Amino acid sequence: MTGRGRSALPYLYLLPALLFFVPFVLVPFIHTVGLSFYDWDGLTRAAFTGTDNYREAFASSLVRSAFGHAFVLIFFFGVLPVLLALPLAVSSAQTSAPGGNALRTLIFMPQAISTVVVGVSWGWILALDGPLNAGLRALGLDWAAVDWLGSFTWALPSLGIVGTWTLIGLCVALFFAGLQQIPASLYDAVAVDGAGRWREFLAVTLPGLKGPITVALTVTVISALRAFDLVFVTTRGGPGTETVVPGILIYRRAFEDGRLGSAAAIAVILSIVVFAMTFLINRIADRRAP
Amino acid sequence: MALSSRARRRYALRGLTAALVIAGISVGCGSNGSGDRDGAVQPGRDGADDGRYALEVWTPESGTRLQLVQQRADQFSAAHPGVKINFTIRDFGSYPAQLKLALASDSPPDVVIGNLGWSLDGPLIKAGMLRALDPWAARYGWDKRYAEVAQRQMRFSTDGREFGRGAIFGIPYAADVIGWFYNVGKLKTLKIGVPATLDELEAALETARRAGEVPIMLGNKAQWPGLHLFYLVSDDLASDREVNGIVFGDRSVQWTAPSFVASARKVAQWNARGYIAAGANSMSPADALAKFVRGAGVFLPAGSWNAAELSAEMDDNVAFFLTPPVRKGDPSRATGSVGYGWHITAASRQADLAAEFIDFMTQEAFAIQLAASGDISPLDLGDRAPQMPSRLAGQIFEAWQSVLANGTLRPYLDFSAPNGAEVLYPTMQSIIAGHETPEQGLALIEQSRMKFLDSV
Repeated sequence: MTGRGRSALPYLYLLPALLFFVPFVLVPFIHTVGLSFYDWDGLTRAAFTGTDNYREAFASSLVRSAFGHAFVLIFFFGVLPVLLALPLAVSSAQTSAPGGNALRTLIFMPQAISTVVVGVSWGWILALDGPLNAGLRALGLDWAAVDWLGSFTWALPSLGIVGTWTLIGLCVALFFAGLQQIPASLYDAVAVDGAGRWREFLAVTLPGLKGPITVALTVTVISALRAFDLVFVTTRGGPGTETVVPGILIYRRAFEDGRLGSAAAIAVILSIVVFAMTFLINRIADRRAP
Repeated sequence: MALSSRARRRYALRGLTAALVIAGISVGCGSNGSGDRDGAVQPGRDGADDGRYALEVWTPESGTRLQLVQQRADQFSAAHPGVKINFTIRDFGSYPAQLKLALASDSPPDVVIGNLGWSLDGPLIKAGMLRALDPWAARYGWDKRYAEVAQRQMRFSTDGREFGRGAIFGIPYAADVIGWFYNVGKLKTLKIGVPATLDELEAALETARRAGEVPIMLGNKAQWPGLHLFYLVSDDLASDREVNGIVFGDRSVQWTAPSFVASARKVAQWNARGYIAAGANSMSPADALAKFVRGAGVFLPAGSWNAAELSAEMDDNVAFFLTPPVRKGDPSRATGSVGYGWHITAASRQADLAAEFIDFMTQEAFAIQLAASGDISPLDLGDRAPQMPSRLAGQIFEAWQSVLANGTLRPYLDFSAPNGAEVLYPTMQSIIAGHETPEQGLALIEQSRMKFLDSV
């Protein structure tokens, strides 16, 4: 093989991915960035307005609160599933009880269901006269039965819990696979050192799962930031504006109000936040490298 | 103002790609531009050789209305040998976006249904895509066919910057009105008569609550139904000048006017007193309707478009009235619209034929057909009204005819700006829930309206 052929080869491997990435992701993204500097209704001539759309977005309390809601969702979509999935994965890996695989499949199931179905189902479960409140009332906890998705206090956390339920299975699956990669000799070594369960978890399991945890956090944090479908199906951003997230604003401004430029600016800000969060998660993971 | 077709296409393409990024969705390429779905057919250019003409017509209509519209169009074709009507039908939700793309394409349709105010008609007129219909209005008598309250909803300045005055841009054929549906059996059991004044209505709500009933069934998850409930109060408390001022861009009128504050406060009080169904904020309008059909709720504030479903499910156990006036005997005012209008596109090469088609589609004969199906139209039919298919349809028809005859039809306040879903609806929901004071909330709504008016 010639030297020239060798240097072209890596690009050849990238070509299939680039063929999709460039026209369907990169070019539209650049278009969106361009559009965010214009005032455009989708029909008449677009007027260049510089950074006006960005200034409007940063000045708008609605846009700021939408990003605030997205950060609340990061806790429910990312942090909580990871924290809950760790003990689930560890304990299910340590037991060889029959049905372990079936259980893991069951926990993973929400991942396989379309978000719209998840939203409709949870809308029913969380309704004022739904099964959750029926259960609470049966336990004598009438005071705790509230209109979860219609409450100005509880709507956002309720949405968050639905996200936790959906994403926990993904985290368990990732961690379970990661656990299989940890050499048994490490466990033997800490056992010889006389470490208990907790010590074993901190010294071997957790460092061994660093990779899967990073992947899980990256995926779940992104899904929290770009949440749209679940919100659209269950609350439409309400009550009031309590569950408005950036995706809802982008959709409304672009497709209902004819404010394409403003929608594009919010989309660009959202993309930057997503990049920053991804970078941050991976940076922290790298720093903790043993 | 009008762009070259290439420039328009470029902008449309840019919008499409932006939309793809923004929503993260993929779009089937075949779903747009149905103007040329038969291949190379170009409106107005195709058939001149063989003596056949095709009118490309776009509509978001569905159900019975669509059937009637298509039947009527068939009659037009029958009466005009050589003229073919090609319908492109899109679902209501995606219609505005798809229509914009079609109008900006190389083969735009001839006749299109729009939507009132700033949501669709305004941007299209501003972009120079629709024709002012005044020359044909005079020829066909459209300017005299409709009551002025109805006609005003179809007027725009030719630059698309002022709504409610200027040229006629659309000719309507169907209408809608908001009022109160009620459960006839429950009213009888509670020994309540049909309220003749606003006070009587409030007394009826209180009686229903004391009897353990849900006085007002409301599904406010979509956030606009709460605003419709507000209309049912502002119909009484706000003046024509105030409502028209808000809708048609009069800056001397503001949402913070005492009458709107009082209306919002009353609806919030109704909620605080337990008149509005618990769980309304997480209930869809369809669920609320289903519950009402199953016997939950004494009153259902809703639009006339629900009538067919309600009477099919409840027969004569459901009836309708408009918000009763403050003073007994005064005419009822009601919020409603003349629906969507037929428009002729600027790009159409057969505008005269299109105008003839529109005239045919909006004549009294069609209004009578609509009425016979249980629907309402913008025309005052007087004694030429047909037999109605149900008692409910008859009540709605009568109520509608009375607001037309009395000139007491009010436009929807959400016509005032296109961003209702972002500001107006959620803020009204917050006010009703007591989460925000009427003064604070309405100030926010007014601020958003002013910002929009400045941007037009």
